Amino acid sequence: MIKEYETKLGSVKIDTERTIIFEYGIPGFEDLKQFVLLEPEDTYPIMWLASLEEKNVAFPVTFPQLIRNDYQFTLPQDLTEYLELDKTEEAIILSILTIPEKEDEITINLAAPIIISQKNHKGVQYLIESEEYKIRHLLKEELERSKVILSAQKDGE
Amino acid sequence: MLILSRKIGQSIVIQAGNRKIKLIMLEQNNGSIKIGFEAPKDIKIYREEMYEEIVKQNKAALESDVNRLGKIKTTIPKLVKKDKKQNT
Repeated sequence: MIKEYETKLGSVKIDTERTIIFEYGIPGFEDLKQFVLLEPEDTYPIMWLASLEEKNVAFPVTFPQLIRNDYQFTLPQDLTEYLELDKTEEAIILSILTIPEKEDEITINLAAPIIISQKNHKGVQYLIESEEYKIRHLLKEELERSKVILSAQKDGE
Repeated sequence: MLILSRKIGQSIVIQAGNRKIKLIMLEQNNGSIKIGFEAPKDIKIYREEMYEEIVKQNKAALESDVNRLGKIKTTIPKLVKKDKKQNT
């Protein structure tokens, strides 16, 4: 069923099947349960996790592997069960971006990714308990770091 | 505020409706306490300062400057957009 919603990116027509349910909410926004992932061409690969209940709430998100190419973590079993995930590919992993006026100050949250199940359309924001990943990484530094890793891999071939 | 004193090896049980959370005092050294939790799977347990950090960052993300996106996305490596799978 197609419904029209008001979101931060204007009014969008959404197939209700694309609704992602955050039963536990997103920290700071616990009362909002229904979100949708908007992928406008003109900002892709930056996408928007937009609330369907509160039109001013939309988080800019992107794929963390694009920013840190060796990003990886293990989901605990209770979470894979809750999201009904059998394989990694069934999950969409996203990181929230914070984009202030100064481009050099853009940060990405690698410690608390958004995990969406393509199986049951449920979502969570999961906190990785690791020294490696922080709530705020400078985007600029991460991209530089990934470039270094990539060129080292190329040299090794 | 209810205040309880506990020794190492002792526990606290919190019951909310028909759900129980058990906190076990495991170890103590240099002013820090190690606590074990037994709780239903859907109860999330966070360190307060971490949870508050996430809240703060999520709120900051909402203030993102949408007008700057065009410029930023060019710095992010290109990605081949896959055809979306049709959910049937």
